[in-house]
Amino acid sequence: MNSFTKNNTVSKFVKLTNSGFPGIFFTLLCAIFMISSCDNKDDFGEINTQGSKYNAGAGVFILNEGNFGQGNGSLSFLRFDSSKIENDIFFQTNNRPLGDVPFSMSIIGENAWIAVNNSAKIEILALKDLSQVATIEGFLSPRFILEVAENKAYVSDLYGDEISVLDTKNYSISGKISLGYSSEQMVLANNLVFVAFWSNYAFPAFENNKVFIINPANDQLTDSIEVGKEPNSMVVDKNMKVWVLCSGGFMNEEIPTLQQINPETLEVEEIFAFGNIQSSPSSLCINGTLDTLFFISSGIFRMSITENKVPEQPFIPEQEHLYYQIAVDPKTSDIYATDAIDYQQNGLILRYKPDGTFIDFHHAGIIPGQMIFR
Amino acid sequence: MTFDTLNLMEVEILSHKIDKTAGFKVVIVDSSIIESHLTKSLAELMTSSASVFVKSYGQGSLATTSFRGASAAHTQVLWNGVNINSPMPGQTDFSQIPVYFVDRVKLFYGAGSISQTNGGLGGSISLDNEISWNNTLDVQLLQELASFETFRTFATVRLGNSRFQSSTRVLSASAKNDFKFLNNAVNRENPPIETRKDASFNQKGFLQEFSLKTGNHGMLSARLWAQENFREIPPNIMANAPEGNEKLNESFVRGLLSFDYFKGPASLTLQTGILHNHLNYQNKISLTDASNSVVSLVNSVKYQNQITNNFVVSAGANFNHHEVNSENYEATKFRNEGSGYLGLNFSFKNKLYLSFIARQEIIDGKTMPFTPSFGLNYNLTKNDDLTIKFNVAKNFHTPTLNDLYWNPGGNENLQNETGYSAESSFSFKKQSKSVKFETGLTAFYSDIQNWIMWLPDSVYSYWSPSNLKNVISKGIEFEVKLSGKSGKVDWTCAFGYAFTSAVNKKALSENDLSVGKQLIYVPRNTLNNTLQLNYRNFSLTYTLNFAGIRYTTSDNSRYLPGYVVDELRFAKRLKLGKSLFDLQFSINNLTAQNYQVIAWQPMPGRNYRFSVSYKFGK
Repeated sequence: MNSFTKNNTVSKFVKLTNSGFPGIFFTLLCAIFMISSCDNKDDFGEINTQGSKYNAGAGVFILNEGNFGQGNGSLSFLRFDSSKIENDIFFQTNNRPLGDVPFSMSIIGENAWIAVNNSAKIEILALKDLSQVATIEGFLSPRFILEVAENKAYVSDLYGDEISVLDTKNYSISGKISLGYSSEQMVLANNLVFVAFWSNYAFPAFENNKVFIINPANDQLTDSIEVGKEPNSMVVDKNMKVWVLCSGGFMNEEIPTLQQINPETLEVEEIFAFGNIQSSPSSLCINGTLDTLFFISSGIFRMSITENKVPEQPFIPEQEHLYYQIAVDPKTSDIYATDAIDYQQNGLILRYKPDGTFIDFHHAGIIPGQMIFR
Repeated sequence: MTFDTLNLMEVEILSHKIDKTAGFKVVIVDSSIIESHLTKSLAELMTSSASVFVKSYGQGSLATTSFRGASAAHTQVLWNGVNINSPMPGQTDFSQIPVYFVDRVKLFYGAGSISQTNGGLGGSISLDNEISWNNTLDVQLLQELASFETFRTFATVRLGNSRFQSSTRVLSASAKNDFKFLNNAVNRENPPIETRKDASFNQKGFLQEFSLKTGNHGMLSARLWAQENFREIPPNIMANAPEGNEKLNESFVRGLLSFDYFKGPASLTLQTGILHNHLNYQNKISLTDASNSVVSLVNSVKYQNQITNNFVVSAGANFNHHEVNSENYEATKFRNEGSGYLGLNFSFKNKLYLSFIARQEIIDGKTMPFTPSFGLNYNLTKNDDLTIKFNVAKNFHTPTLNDLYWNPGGNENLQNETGYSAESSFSFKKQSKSVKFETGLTAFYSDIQNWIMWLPDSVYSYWSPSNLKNVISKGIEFEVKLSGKSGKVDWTCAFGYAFTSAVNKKALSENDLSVGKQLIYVPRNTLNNTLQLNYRNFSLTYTLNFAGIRYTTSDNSRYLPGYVVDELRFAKRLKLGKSLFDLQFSINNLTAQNYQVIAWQPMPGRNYRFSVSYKFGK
């Protein structure tokens, strides 16, 4: 080190630059260029190029679930007047993603209540502009929200063994109803709440073939009714009968059934068995006049509530689509179906007239699921 | 392997002896790079290489590689010749391979992997251990302290003589890994600072090697690699799970026995081994506690003979048997693999080198596609300054056991993914008195058909794999390296750039917008840059890696912005008699960039590592 005098250093430096040292400057230049092109404050998160602003009005909300664990769920809105779809509208208003797997939405008063499954929260948004009203936490795996009385709603839970009771006025959890089982879809009939025990994944000791009855007046679990395996969806018809669609199990263990429950007697009055154990029916819904049922079983099926068997042929065949969810517009009875394509891109909303004629399609978000009419 | 001479990622230089991979791209990671990354995982070592993209969920978390746009299962990983990809997912987690247990890393790009194994539609990586016969006693203790309560301890004892060598290596590592990050899921413009939770890991490992020369021509070697990896799996930053929700516990034992016989120009290698892997995954919220174990028996024979000065023949056969016990399979599943290969290598006037390699594999009694490959090297100038290469090949990747037997969803009717590829390159080097210049440019094209993809089934509600995509991947890889000596300073400057276009060509349905689009998590542009200065026993290294935007949806509607990560490293060597001290201090993510390799999985900001190595040699 002693031999390194100042002059020596300078002359060495000159020598260096003359002898190919430019490579080093090239490296430094590269580094400076690249670092300056990546500003610290730059957006470093996932960017969606398909977002647009939300304009309140008449239309249908589409909850795009996204892939579990990938945080790419979103909210879309398809307007009836212009037939234009607005995508990623939650982000556009709130400048943050909706969460991991937004699974279901209920409209209560002037607000949208969204259960975000893997974020274990409920987002409450004002329908007028989708601004955040409140966020409720304290669930394990929230699935569905059902308004059961004034200022009171229930939240079902896939991995939890309780129903959460919400105070919808104060946006808080006011209590829990111990169920001992997982809970999924809920309907209200005859002033009783019907809760489907759909998945026994986290409750392997129990058969997932039950519907629980809760009295919303006192939040007491009063009864349970045995149905088919894996009751995945329920509706209430114009005669106040509860229809329960049972897929027969994740592995198609038993013949799927469509069952009708009388909410007065709490008895299963009708059991319609499917012809094929591999039917895997799902997404039971009902039209605006509450007299015709629709569900998916590869294609889309239609069945009057007075029919005495499950139709054999689909009303809208599957063709190239793989339907994921369906819904029926309560006003027009138009049928809305979603197709997630490869589950890695913006999926489709397909619209059909009540007679099954195709109307149009729109690209929503990733894995479009539940549709909520407003 | 001296500390002072540094050759960064060097393309295997052709000598005048016959190159068995003539025409193919094979890169040997220089031993000095391995030495300076000793305390890291293979994932971190690979990150410093352009054209291989490491998809990492963060330090200690799952990290897989993509060569030339192919998938993680299209990278085959071999340890001393034995494929260590798990037969279940068909891939290797690079975060769990300590560089400390590896002496030599070779990257075989594209069809270059056929010389090692089938299935490397992207490429393959060979991890080898080496023996030094002139060692008598060599002891190393290495301790690292790093940010986020990361501690790593390593030790090696090598002893022996010219006929017998023993090498023992152990490691113990743990990290709380509770780094700070900006949570942009809470607010995009003003993300709050949060602390990463549930990301801790620890690791314990042991590698024992014995080598014995038998007679004048033989060598017997035995290796045992045992390791235990525990890690928490942190959720993405918008998920909300109970504390310590997901855990993964992995342990493995790999035992290998090899016998090498050399006589004149011929060599014969016999190898047998047993690999046992046990994995347990726990998820509190869904009450999952699933275990699986894999036992693999591997056997191989290799023969090579230089018949004339201009002709080498090599041949080999493998027989492997895998047994998988998994709670995710209906029953115990087996796979039997038998394969044979033949390689012919010619040279003409030390100018033209040709290689033909063909492999035929039989899996569970089914004859797999015949995979021939052909490569050529041509030296345009006398002293090999300018070389052109070309190769063309067919390869295949057979469905993994998860693809076939996962319950529910596994599809036993899956076909092989098949790949056709072609590649051409030129390399040039020039040396003046004080400066050495090397550069290479490679262009590749590959067509992978019957690409396997998991999708929900229309009959069942669960996911199931099918042969759905056709992927065309093409691109270029460019490297340039300048090195020299100026006074007492040795300097090296290396630059690498890769462009990868990996595009799906097949639609699932009319409105499938993934056709013609880049595959997810394959950056089109990657770049790396290294600058190193050595002065006496001091060295200073600056590395910079850039990955361009990665699409996160198959219709390319969403993407993650590009990112730059750089590192500054100081190293100092002290000699005291027979003792050698190496001190290393590094600043990672020097410019404190915020970035996510995987969407909503944060990476740490600026962080530090300090290590001291003590070596005693006789």
